[in-house]
Amino acid sequence: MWVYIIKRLLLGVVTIYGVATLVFFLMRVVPGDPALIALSEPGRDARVSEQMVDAMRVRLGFARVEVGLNRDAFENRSGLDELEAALQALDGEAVLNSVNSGAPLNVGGTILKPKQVRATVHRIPLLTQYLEWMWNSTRFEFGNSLKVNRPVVDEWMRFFPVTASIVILAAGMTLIAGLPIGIISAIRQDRFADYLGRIVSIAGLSLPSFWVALLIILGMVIWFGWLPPLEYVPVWEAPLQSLQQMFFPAFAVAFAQIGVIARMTRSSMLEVLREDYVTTAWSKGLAESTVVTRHALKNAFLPVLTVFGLQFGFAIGGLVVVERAFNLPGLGNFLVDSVVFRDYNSIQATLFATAIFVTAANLLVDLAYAWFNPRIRYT
Amino acid sequence: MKQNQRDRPKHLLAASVLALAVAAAPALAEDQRACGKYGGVLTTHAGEDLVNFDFHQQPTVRTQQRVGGSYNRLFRFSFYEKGKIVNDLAESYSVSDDGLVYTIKLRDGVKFHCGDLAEGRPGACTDLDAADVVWSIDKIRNKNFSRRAGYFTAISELEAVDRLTVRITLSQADAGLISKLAVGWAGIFPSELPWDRLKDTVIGTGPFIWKEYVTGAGSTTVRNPDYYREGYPCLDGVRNFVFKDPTVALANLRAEKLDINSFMQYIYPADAKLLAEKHPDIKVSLPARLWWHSIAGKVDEAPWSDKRVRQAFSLAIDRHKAIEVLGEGAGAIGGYMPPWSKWSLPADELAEQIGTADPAMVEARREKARALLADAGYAPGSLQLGWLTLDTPESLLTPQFVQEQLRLIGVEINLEVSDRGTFTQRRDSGDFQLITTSNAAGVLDPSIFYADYLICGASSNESGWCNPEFDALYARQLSARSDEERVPVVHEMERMLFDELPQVQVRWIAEGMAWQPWVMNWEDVDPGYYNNVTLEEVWLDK
Amino acid sequence: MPGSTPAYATHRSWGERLRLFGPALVRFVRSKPLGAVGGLIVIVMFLVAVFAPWLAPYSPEEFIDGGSARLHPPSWDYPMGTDNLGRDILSRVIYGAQLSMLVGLLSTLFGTGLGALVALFSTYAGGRWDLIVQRLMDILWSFPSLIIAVVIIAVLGRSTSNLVVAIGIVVIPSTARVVRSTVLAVKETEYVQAARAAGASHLRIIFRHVAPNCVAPYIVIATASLGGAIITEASLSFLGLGVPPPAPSWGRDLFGSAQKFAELAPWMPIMPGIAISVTVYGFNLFGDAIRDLLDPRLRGSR
Repeated sequence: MWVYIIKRLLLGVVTIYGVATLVFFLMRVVPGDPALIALSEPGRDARVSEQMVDAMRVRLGFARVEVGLNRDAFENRSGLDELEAALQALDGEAVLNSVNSGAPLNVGGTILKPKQVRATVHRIPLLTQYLEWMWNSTRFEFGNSLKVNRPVVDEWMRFFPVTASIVILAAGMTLIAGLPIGIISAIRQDRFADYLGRIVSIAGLSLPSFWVALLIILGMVIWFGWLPPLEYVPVWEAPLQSLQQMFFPAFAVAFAQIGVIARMTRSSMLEVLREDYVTTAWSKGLAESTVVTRHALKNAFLPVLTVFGLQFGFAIGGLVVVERAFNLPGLGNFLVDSVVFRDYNSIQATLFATAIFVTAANLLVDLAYAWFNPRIRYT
Repeated sequence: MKQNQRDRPKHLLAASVLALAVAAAPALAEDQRACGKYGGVLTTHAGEDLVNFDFHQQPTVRTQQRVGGSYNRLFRFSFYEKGKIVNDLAESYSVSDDGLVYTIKLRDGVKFHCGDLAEGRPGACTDLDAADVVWSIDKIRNKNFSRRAGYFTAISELEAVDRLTVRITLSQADAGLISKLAVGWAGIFPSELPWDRLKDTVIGTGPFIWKEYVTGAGSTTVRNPDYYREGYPCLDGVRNFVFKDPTVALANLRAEKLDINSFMQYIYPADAKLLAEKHPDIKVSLPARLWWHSIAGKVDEAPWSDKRVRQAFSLAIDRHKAIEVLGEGAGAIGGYMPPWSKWSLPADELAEQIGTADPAMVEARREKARALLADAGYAPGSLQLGWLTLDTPESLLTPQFVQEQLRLIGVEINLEVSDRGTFTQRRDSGDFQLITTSNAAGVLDPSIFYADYLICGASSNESGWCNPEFDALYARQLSARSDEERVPVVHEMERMLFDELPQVQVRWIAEGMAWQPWVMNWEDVDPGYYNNVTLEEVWLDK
Repeated sequence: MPGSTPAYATHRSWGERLRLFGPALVRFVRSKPLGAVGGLIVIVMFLVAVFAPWLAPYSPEEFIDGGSARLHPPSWDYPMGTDNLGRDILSRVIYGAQLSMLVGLLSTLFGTGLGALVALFSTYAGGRWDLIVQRLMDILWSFPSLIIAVVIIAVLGRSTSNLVVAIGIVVIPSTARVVRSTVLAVKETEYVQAARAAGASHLRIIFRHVAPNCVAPYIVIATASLGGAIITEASLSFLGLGVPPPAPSWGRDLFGSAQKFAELAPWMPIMPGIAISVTVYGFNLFGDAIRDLLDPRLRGSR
C-alpha cells in the first residue's frame, strides 16, 4: 500500500509539471503579446510606439534592460568604468525610463545626459522564461498578474471565496436533492418514481447552466425586481447577504450537478442492492428502510461521495459560464479573462494549482476505493 | 459681448477661436453654478479594471473616468455649454500675432494634494508652478510615454518663463491647441513625480483626492478641502465601481444603486429604449459621439487596391438602414468628419455620396455597385473576403450588418472574430484583408481626425493609403489662421476622401449615459470621451 | 436481466444482426421507454438538421426587410419572433440544429475515438507506453475542462473544425480511462493468454479479442458524451468563442444581443435555450438507457 502511495505521489508530481509545461507552451502559442494587450483599448486603439511596448515588456518581466555608457559621448574618458558600474547598479527599468524621457540621469552625483547612457531592451529567451517558471512554481512563487500587476496569490484571495461559496452552497443543494432522488430511483427501479426521478435528474443535466442562469435573472428582474449585487460581499462580513447573493448562482450550478449525483447514486445503489449481503438482508425480512440505510446506502455512498468530490473539482471549469451570467468575480471568470488578456502568470499559476488539487483528489478517490474494496488490484 | 458669444454657432473650434478673443478674461462667470447641497458620495462605474493609472498610456476612457477628477488642466470644457472652453489652471493667456507663441499665466496658490492620504508620495503639498506644467505637457508630448504625443507635434519649445508663466512656441500655427490642452489627457501633475510613477500614483490639484483603488471593486476619491475654487466640490467623494458587464451596471442604475451610469459610456440604443420604457424618470442622453466604424482594406493589395471595389462597397451599404437597425435610430452617418459639425460636407453633397433612405435610390446604388464590381472583373459570388473584427457584441454589430449588405451585391464576407490579443497582433502585422477601423477622438478638430488615421504613415492608417496631395491640403488647413479659412480646405479633403475611399465610413456611433434625476449640475454637453470628468459642480438632490 | 455484459463479444453475421434488429427495437422500447423517447428526440432533431432548408421559412442569415422586421414577438409570421437584426429566430433555431448535431457528433467521435484507440494500443502494449499515455491523460484530466477548450480555441482560432477539436480533447481522458480498465481486464483473461501462446499476432489479438470487448463500454461513454459535447459547444459559444457570426448557433445566439435585449425581447434568449435543452435531453435519455442496457457497473466516467 505505501509503495503504491509513494509511486502515485511521484507520478502525480510528473503530472503536475506536465500540466505546468503544457500550459506554459500553449499560452506562448496563442497569438497576441501581453505587452501590447496591456497597452490596448478594445475598439478604440491608437497604436503605441515600440519604446512604450518595450518598456511594458520590461515591466511585465518578458524583457530585461542592458545598461551601459555610450563612451563616444564623453569628452573626458577617465573613470568611466566606475561610473558604468554605478550605473549598472541602478534599477534597469528606471534607467530605461529615464533615457526614454530624455531627462538627465543622476548616477551617484554625476549628471549624465540621455545620449551618454545606453539602455537596450533584450527579450528574455523562451527557454529561460520556461526554466524560471518551473523553478518559481516549485517554490510556489507565481509572480504578479500581468493584468493588474498584483501578486497572483492576492488575486486568488479575491476570486476564490466567491467560487468557494458557490461551490459549497451548490454542493449542499446537490446532496440534499441528488441523494434522495437517486436512492428512490434505485429502490423503485423501472417504476414510476424511478422514471420521474430520472426525468428530473436528466433534465438537470440537459439544461445548460448559463441558460438556467439567464432565465433566473430574466424572471427575477421582470417579476420580482431582483438585481444582481453591486458589490460582492464576502461571507464572513455579512453571511445573510452573501447567502442571498450566492443562492441563485449556486442553484444554477447545482441544477446540473443534481442530475450527475442522482444518476451516480442510482447506479451505485443498484449495484449494491444486488450484492449478496443485501439480498440476504431482504430475505431476513428486514424493513426496507433498514436495508436501504444500514446496508445499501452505507456502501453505495462512498463512490457517490468520491465522484461528488471530483465533480466539484471539475466544476471550476463549468462555473465560468454561470459566473459570467451573474457577473460574479469568481475563479472561472478569472481564468477565462486571463486567457483573453494573455495573462501568462495568472493562467499558469492557477492551472498549476488546480492540477495539484485534481491530482490530490484523484489519488484520494483511488485510495478510498482500494481501502474499501480490497478486490481492486492496483498495479 | 458675452451675449454675442452665446449667439454664435456652438462648435468646438468656433468656441476656441472665441476663447482666443477673450483670452485675457478669467473663467466666465455664468459658467459657474452653485452647489444646492453639500455632501454625499456619487456612485458610478467605468467598466473593467484599470491596468494602471497612467492616463497617457492606458485605455484612456476608463482611466479618465476614474483619475480625471483628481487632476486639473490648463483649460477645460464648459460643464454646461457645448464646445465652450474656459480657463482652469490658467488664469489668462495671450497669443502672438503670428499665432506661434502662446504665453499662459497660471493661477497662484493652487496646491497639489497632500495630507495623510498622500503620505509618502513625492510632490505632496507643493504649490503649482510653471515647472509642473512644463513637466506634465512634456510627458504627453513624449511618444515613449504617451500615446497622445501626436496631439502636440506642433510644439517646438515649452518653457517656464517665471514661477507662474509658461511659454509655448509652435513650429506651425495650430488653431486647436487650446482645445487639446483642455482635454482630459492634459492633466497637470507635480514635477517631483517621475513619469513612470504615474502608473501607480495619482496626484494632482483636482477637486477629488485619490484615496484607493481596489482591483475588482474600483476607485474611491474624497473631497479636496483645499480645492482652488472656493465652495467646490459639492460632493464628499466619488465611488467608481468596476463592472465588466455593462448590462449588470445598468441593472444597478435601475435599482438606484448608481447615480450616474458612466460618463458618456456604456448606454447603447437598446438600453436607452429599455430605460425609456421602464424608467422614464432616469435621464438619458444618446448623442452620436466622436466614435465611428469604418471598413478598410490594404490599398496596395487586391481587391482593395481597385478603386472600383471600394466605390462599390460604399455604394452598396445602406447607411440609413444601419442607423435604423443597429442604432434604434440613434447615431449619425456622413463622411470622415462628424456630420453634425461644420467640417462635414453640406447635407446635399453628402447625400450624393452616401445616398438617401429612398428605397429606389438604395436599389439604384446597389445596381451601380454590381456594375462596378463586374467592371473590375468580379462576377457575383467570386469575391470572398475575410474581415478581421473584435469579439465584443458591440464591435460585431457593424460587420454583421455590412456583411448582409454586401451579400446583396454578391460579395461574401467571412468574419474573422478575434479576441483582443489576436486582433492587435494581426492588425499590427497587417495580417488581414478587411478590418474595422474604429477609433474615438477627444476633440472635434480635423487635425486630430486626419492626423491619426488618414495622412501618410499615420499610426492608425490601416489601409496604408498615402496621398501627397491630401497631405498638402492637411498642411494648408493646419497653418490657416481662422476656421473660416480652414473649412473650405477641409471640405476639399472630404471630397478627396469620398473619391478615393481609402476607408469606407459606415456610421458614427451613438453611445450615451444615464443619470438619476437627483444628479444636479450635470449635463452631457460634450461628444468627446475624455473631458468633463471632474464633477466639481455636481451635487445630489436627495 | 437485461444489461449484463457478455463475457466475450459474440460474433454474428450482418444478416443475422439485421433480422434481430426489429425485435430488439421492440424490446428496447418496452424495457426502456425513456430511452426510446430520447432516441425519438434525437432522430427528430437529426431530421430537422438534415431537412433544415425545407423546414425553415427564411434563410437563417437574412435580415428580413433589410433588418426593419426587428424584435417582432412570436406570431404567425414569425413563430419564434425575430431578433434585433430582423432575422427569423425559428429559422435560426432550425439551422442551428445542423451545427449542434455536427459539432456534437464529430467532436464526440473525434474525442472518444482518439481516446479509445490510444488507450487500446497503449494499454495492450503495457509498460512504458502505458505509463506515458497514462501521464498524458492525467495531464489533460487535470485541466478544468472548459478552460482547456477556451485555450485551444484561442490558439487555433474560431471555426467549426476547431470547435470539434477543442471539445473532442475534453472527452479524450475519460474515454481512455474507461477503455483502459476494460483492456486491462481482458488482457489478463485465459482466452487472450491462450491466443498469444498459440502465436497469434498482436494486431490480430487486439482487433479480434480485445477491441470487441471494448465496444460496449465505448458505446456507453460515447453516447453519454454526446449531450455534454453539445452543452460544451453552447457554453463556448456563450462565451463568444463559437463559430463566427452570422452562422446560426444556439449557443452564440444566447451571447451578447440576446442578453442585452432579454427584457425587451425575452424570446431571444428563451428560444435557442429550449432547442439546446431538448436536444441534450434527448441524447441524455438515450445515453442513459444504453448505459443501463450495456453496463450498469460502468463507473469512473465523468
